[in-house]
Amino acid sequence: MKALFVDQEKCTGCRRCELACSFFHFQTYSLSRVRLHVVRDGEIEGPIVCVQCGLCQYACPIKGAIIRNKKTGAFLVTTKCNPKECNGECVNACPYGVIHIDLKLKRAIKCDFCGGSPSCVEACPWNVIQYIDASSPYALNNKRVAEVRRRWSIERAYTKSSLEALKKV
Amino acid sequence: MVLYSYAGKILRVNLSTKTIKTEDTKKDIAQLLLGGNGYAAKILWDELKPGIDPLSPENKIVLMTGPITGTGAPGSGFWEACFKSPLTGVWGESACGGWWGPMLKFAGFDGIIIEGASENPVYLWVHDGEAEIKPAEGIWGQTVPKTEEMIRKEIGIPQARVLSIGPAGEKLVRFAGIAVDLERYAGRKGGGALLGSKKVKAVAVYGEKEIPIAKPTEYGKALKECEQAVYASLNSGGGFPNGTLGGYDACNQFGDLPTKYGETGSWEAVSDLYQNFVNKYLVKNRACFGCMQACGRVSQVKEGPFATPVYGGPEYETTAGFTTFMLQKDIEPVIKANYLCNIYGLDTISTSHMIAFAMLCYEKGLITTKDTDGLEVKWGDPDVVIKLVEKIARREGFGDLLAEGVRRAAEKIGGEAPKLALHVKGLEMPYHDPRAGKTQAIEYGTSNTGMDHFHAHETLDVECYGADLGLIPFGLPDPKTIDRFSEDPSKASIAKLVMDWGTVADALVICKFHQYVNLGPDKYAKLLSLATGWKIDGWELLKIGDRIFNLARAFNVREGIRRKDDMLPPRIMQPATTGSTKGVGITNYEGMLNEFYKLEEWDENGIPKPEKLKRLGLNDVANYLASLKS
Repeated sequence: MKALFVDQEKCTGCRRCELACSFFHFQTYSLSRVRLHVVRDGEIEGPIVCVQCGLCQYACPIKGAIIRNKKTGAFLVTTKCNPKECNGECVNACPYGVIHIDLKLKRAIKCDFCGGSPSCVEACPWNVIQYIDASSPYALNNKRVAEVRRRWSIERAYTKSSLEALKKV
Repeated sequence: MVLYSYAGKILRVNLSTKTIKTEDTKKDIAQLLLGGNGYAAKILWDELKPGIDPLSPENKIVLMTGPITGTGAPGSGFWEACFKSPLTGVWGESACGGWWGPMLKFAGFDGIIIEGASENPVYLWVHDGEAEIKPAEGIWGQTVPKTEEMIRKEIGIPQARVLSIGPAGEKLVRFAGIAVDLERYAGRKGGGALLGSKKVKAVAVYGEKEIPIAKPTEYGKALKECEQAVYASLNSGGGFPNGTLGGYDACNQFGDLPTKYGETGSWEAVSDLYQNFVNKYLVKNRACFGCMQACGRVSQVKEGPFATPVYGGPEYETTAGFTTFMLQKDIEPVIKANYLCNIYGLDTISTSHMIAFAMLCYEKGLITTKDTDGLEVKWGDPDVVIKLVEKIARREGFGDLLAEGVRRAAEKIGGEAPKLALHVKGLEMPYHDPRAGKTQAIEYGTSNTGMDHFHAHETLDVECYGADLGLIPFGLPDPKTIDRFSEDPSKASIAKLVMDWGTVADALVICKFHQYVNLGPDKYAKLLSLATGWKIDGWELLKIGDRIFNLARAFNVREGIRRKDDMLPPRIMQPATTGSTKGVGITNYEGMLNEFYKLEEWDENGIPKPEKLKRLGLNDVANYLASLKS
């Protein structure tokens, strides 16, 4: 199973990943209809990506509105999603703020790995975001991932900044 | 009717009457002049009365984006500030990167016209197609980072982008700049002083609108092609993989690094400065919106007398100004001075220029410690440099004189000072030596903004560094075949072509560094056509450049600019004394200038001929100039 890994130190903050994300899904270049965010806090900056943790699915009160794609492992929002029937539980549940209610589509949007070849990965000039096997040597030797696994014992990849954010929670 | 790829609205804020209006972006002007400096030139030509005091409420500042700003096109994170310059009294334009420009379009506006003047400090809060004038008493006097922080906190949106001026702009330092996103600057020509005179501390923008694109699928494909071209160029060493400072050593070898206030073009003492910077002080790269090159550098001096926090810069121009130009050989004071200029809102080029000028005058005995508040302004003394930056920002004592810019300061100092001063039309010389590549002399002389290396374009890059800017299909000779020292009148045709292309960049409002990475007029014409739905090719783009350049020239002619104002300062024409340009001066400047006038179809006084302006579709401008008695 592949996942998105982030090497935050390399990020220049150009936000091409966000532009690619919105263009792939909506044929538009927007920084608000995106499924990942480049955040900058003082001198620290980097993309916050969906780690497919599934908390959104767990929180969702509508059956079948968020399902897991068995092939990619991505959690997908289906047409059954109807924000009128819920309180945006998925948005509240997301620890990273990467699931949104899209006002034009009138349902939640979140990272779907672009069906298996994420456009943010392709767009990044500096290979900050990588889509690699979660059990690859890079991923396994990645100290951040090791730390996450030790602390949370779950098969997910985290970014350093998410880790720090989680510590704060 | 949708005007594709434009936001479609322009905001007009009158601070005297506290009224806010929105106007439609006009399609006919957009097709004639695109956006950015072109659209702004039309507004300022129509609305400004000739001869007004630039710091009076009658002056206006136009903050513009362009048709492909914020569409993900390479270098599309820019915005332009256009105004009558408080420093030069003529056409002023300043381009800047960051994220503010795209965010303005996402907020629903192509541009903001700020007119009149407020009595009390204010800031503008522009969001989702609306705008408010808000009081800024509590923020007035703060540095740029503090201002951004306070405004974001007040409006409660951390993603909002803030344009602001520092204390230098408030004090009307004539070369105060406009900052966005901490360290990105529309630095030159005194836009900050103009905003300061209007008591505008900041303009915060945020929005979530989408920019409509005429043919999105094809646009996406064309964008991919452009990306490939950029990567190919970066991989083969083109563009700015090492940032602008990466070119420092090459400039030194080419004799392109003005030294000792322009006496010569290179200095051996700084040969390992760049490597030292990379090894010890560089923190990371930072890109503007949607940029693949990430030429911005972030640096820090961790300890010692020049310690700074982690902050953007210094770039090439800043470093050249604070090193060779004033014979100062260490990088630490540069990083410190750059940081101070950035937080106070000063243009680093003019600030370092003024300090070097003070050092030259001090050496020649034109000023003494009596004039300088007891400071011994000796060449290259880093402590003096830091002190003078602070003094200029606050207009304190001697700093008050330097804050007037080199033309006014030299006149006040008197003696031979005006002869020594390096400026054209009142704009201080930046740090590229025209003796190293002679087309640069033509640009310095004829640029509408004064002695400017980037408006219209750095022509020297073609003959010195072999950049073709994608112009070979449009008649540029292979840069490798050009003799950079030749002063043949044919140099004028190179300058003309490059400057037209540079002017278009400011109308499309793209970063000019993307012209160095295989993105020529044809590529941008394709992007523009697909984004707007218009049919436009590379030749047409260059014609638009010609049109805007001449419109801005007409603006200057109306302000009294003639041939005599296109002359270069004598000090920079004298032979250089060291390095690869040793013994090289500028001897046939007027010959090249005459040819340039001929190509531009300007008369012997430097006034564009009416028939040319009519051919470009500028009939009212042509009629006005025809009625002038030159």
